[in-house]
Amino acid sequence: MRIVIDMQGVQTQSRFRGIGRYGLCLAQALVRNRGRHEVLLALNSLLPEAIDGIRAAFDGLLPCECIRVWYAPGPTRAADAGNDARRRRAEVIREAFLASLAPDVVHVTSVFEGFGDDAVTGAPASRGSWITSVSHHDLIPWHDPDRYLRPDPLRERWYRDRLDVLRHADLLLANSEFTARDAHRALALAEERVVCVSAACAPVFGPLALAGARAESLVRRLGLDRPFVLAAGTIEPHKNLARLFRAWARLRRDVRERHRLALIGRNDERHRRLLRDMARTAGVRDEELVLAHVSDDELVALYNLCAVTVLPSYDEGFGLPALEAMTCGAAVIGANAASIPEVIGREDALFDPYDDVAIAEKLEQVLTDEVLRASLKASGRERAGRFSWDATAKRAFAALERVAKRRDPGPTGERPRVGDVLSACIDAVAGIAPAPGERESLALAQALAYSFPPRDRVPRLFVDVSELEQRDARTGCQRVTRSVLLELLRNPPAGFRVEPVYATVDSFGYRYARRAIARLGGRSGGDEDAVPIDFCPGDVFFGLDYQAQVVPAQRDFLLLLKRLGIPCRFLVHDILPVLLPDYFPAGTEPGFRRWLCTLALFDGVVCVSQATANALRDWYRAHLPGFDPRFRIEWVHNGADIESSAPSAGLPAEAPTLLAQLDARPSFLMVGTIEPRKGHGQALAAFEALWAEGVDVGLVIVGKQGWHVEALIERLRGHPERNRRLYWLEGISDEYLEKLYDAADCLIAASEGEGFGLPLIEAARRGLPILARDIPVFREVAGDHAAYFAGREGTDLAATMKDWLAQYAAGRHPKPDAVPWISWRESTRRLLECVLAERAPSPRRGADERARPGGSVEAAAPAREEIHGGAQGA
Amino acid sequence: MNDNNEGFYRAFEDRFRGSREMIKQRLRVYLPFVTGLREAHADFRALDLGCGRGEWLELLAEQGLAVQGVDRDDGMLDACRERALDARKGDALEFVRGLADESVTVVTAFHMIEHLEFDEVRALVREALRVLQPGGLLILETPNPENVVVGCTRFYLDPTHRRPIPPQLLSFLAEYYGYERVKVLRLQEAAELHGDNGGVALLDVLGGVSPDYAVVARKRGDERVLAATEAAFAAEHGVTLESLAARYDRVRDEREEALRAELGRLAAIAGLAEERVARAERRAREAAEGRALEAEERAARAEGDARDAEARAARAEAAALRAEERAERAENEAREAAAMLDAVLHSRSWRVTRLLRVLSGASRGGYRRTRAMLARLARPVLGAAVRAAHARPRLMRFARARLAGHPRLQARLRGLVHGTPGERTPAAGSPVPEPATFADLSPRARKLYLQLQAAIEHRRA
Repeated sequence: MRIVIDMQGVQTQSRFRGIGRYGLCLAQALVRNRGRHEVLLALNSLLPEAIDGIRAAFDGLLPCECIRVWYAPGPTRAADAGNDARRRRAEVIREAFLASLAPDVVHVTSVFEGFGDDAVTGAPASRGSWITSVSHHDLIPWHDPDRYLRPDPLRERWYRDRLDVLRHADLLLANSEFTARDAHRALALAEERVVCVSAACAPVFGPLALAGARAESLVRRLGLDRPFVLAAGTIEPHKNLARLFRAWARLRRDVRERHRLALIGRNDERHRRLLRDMARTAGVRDEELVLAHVSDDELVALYNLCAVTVLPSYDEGFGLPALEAMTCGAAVIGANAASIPEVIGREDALFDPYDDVAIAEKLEQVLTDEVLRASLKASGRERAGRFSWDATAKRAFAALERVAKRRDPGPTGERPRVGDVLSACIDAVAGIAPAPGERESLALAQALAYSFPPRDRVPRLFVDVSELEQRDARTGCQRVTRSVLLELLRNPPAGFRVEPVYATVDSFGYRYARRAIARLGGRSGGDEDAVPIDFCPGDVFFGLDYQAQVVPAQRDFLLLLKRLGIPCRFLVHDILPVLLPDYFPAGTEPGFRRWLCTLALFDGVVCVSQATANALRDWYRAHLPGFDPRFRIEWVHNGADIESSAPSAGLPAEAPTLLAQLDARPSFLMVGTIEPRKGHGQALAAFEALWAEGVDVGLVIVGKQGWHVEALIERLRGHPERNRRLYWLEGISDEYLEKLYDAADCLIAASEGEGFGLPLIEAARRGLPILARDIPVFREVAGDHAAYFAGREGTDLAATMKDWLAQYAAGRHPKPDAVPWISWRESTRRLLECVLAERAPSPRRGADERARPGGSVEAAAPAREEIHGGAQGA
Repeated sequence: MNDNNEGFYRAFEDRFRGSREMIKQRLRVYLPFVTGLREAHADFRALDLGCGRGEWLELLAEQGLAVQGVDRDDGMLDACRERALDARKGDALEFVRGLADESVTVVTAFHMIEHLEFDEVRALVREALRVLQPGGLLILETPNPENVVVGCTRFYLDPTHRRPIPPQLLSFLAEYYGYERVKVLRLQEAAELHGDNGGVALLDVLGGVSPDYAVVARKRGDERVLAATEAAFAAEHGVTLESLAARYDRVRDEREEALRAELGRLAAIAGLAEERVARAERRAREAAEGRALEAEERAARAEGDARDAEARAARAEAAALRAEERAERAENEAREAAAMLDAVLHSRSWRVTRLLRVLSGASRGGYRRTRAMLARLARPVLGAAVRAAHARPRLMRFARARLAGHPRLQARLRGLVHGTPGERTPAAGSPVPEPATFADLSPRARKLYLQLQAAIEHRRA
């Protein structure tokens, strides 16, 4: 069977309540126990908050292409009567979407959603060819309509509508026998249509070997200075706390004095005040009552530590606190009402919840009778073992198989054609009056395009080339963009079509980048100029261009891709603006910071060096408290074959003279924009010192004037050695630069921070020895094949240069020939490995998946190794 | 204006000032002032400075009135000449200086003075007084900086604008130079904001004030010529910032007042319920102390009562709690809204950065975009308030009742919660923004859109 689980009950606000936790645990259990069945999850994009959490909860449990998202224009909530037509259209789209998945069964985690939120869980009238099953939790509003329904006619109508959906379902999976019986009676359903599959508690609950110190600090913090009775401190009336308080007041004096009553729950200050007032009125003394809101872990500890847990509710769908406590090995007593006896399973642990005296007697008995308490603990543990999510899932599968057997074997197995489903869906949508307006029609069209991806489409690798598309600034970053893109277009990865895309800061979404391709002389522009991209699960997004403004501006679009299961990764050239903010124009750092923070929302980055990867990881750890450890920080060196990036040619007239001058004395070369960070000032000071000592050396600076170096430029322009032993060349061709590499004796790399060290490699490839500042990225690139200097004074460098010159004269200087480098082809290949690494793990059902624990949507999955070595540079 | 950009201003006007017909329609507001003067002055002659595409010239010509225009932009003059309107090239101020005393009946300058230095404006007002015939009119129309959106951004959309001139300054100028009567006309506001009773949203306060205004100044003259324009001077126009802000405050105050009343009512109910619980318990206690059979029966009854009352008390308490939270939230939100408005009105950087943003992408849709930006600013505050209300059906019903009389505000609020497609920037994890135009659709969505339209058409047929 193919089972599609409608996860909306885990997406709405219900995810913070029992219904959502139940839905998630059950879905995980169904996935774990699916055996030969196939399980898909269907998510509603109108409820986006929990989508990432749900994906994380099934990480490693279910291939990501089995988690599907459908779209419809919102809002659809029933609380606003103006949404009716829109909701009906959304119901049609949902139905068609489910049909497109060709399910044998659709299991709905909760039908009581969609009043105050935009969940759309089906209309009573509509029914696909599949079996519909529904998780059923309780009918509390139906039991007490005066409280829950009558005050709001709109809500009442909606609730009765939902009951109809329940009535029309093929199968109700109830969480307890009580709920099942209740459903039979209330909804007049045939016996075989309601099956109790029971429930279990989250795997976090269990007996703890509590280290004394931790337990002590917890009980001390809460003020639990004596043995305590534990109860859930929710204020809802059916929890029956008023009677529990009165019963407490009836306890024998010495018993009261020896114990505390601890109410644990989501209670804020006001709740606590109310509870205290209630308790005081009932005769409970202030010091006897402890109220607290604790974490799940602490709750487990308290269940482990308590003398007894009591559940006095007179209405419960299941009675989870009792099971949680029993699972932790606590003695549990509870009301002889609703589903509670089923959970506790012992007559002598029950009391009449309407009788103060009965509650008091049972409480006193269990607090004073050690033998009884021990027996309750033992039997509780034993009984709790019978409740497990795997058992629940197996019961659910069995029930579904029974229904499937009873039913006519329909034309299953054959997937309906997406086109047919879609055409029918469009017809049905158009038929709902009033017809949608222009805006809604546009939204509907886009929603349909998202919801019904075409089959047999080649997955796309979207490559962000926004800069190249719009400006083509000839910076170092752009050289990388051009080289990688060229390589990608020439040798696209198997199974993907490479699609360059771009975006701007002021319009939503990415568009096809035709100009960038034309610029590279690749494919022609085509007629899809500036058209928003079509994307589907299975595609991959890679932010190749450095786009500090565009990426934050497109954050929501990228989150949309992520929710759809499209991994998004980005190339990071360096993080210097946050490491060395003083070296950048004011205002660079905040924007850059924002960019880095935005990247952290997605799947990972690829840095151009290990040094940058390390620095970035450290920065994220220090600056993003909630940094997701699954975020992958990888690294791949840039290519160093300049031939690939369309080199420029041309020599100026004075070139031969200058090249001859370089041969006259030991000459040093500096390559790179003149910026404060690049250390030109220190280098010039060093040369001045050497010249003053009479050392005959030459310096050639190649690079344009950058930001904030006016004083240095003055010094260069007016220097007495200018054009004698000091040269400054601006904007020269690649050809000229090659000649300079050949003519010079040594490259000085004096920068205080770089993402990569391309000039080092370029020099090394031409046999030019290297003298570099001792920073990690230069060590990474050049290793032992370069000489290094430290210190920030001219004299520091001058001293190292003198040593180097002596070694050079003797031929004992570090030889550059063994500096390792890779080609752009190789670099791009490794880059693709990183970018496509997490492309949906192929559908496998190994044993390793079965052992995965469940957990709440909010819980983070276990940490993975964060740094994945890319290129080793060898 | 810039002489070097022939045609630029014509194109700019075509895009940002609006269609010819629309401008003409707007200028009709001045006709009552002008037509009266035709009878008073047989030699009626109007002069329009910075006549642009000549809408005013055309309007007066249609009325059979003699009118001449002056403009420095050849592109604009071409548009006038295409319509055979009398328009000359020249500098406005110089042109007026060259005119004889008392030779013109009406001098107008629509959206011209904001391109002049203030000293030039002064000279223009003074010179106009000299050339006007007795009872003649000077009409100066310019953007109204009382409108926060206009004052902060839209004014700067035209890079040749110098600085906004507040109505008080311009009218004082006319009074200072000795015009007999000076009137401020606030113009071009949305018709929905007329009247005094409709609710207004924060956005209306920021952007709803009349975006343009005119000063109409009349030269001294005998009673007969003054009478010709008396009626026109009496009419009232426009919407002021003070009136909108007062209306906004009123709506907010009413809402808070209602919440307070609701809270009081709930507290009273809770009190009553508590009393009943106490009474029932007393009865139960008495019963327990009483004689065997009878007492037991009574006790059973009393306990039943107590159970009900207790449930009611718990319910009332919970309700009171919710109401308290609601009141607190409403108060916070009102405070935030006020702070937001304050920040918008006073923030220099806000203005500067918006200006840069608008100018850098100035080619199209500037005003719409500015509105959208403001909407984005206001949305988180109001949106949060409305969403909070949505989660509480009773509050929602109550709010709906309050809003019933204010369809515009209601629509506005609904827009804020659900967003107007194409106008919102969603927060983290918000739904996909909806496409606003066909061009926003991806290729596949375009095909589906056409299919959907065909299906809808088919159903209609």
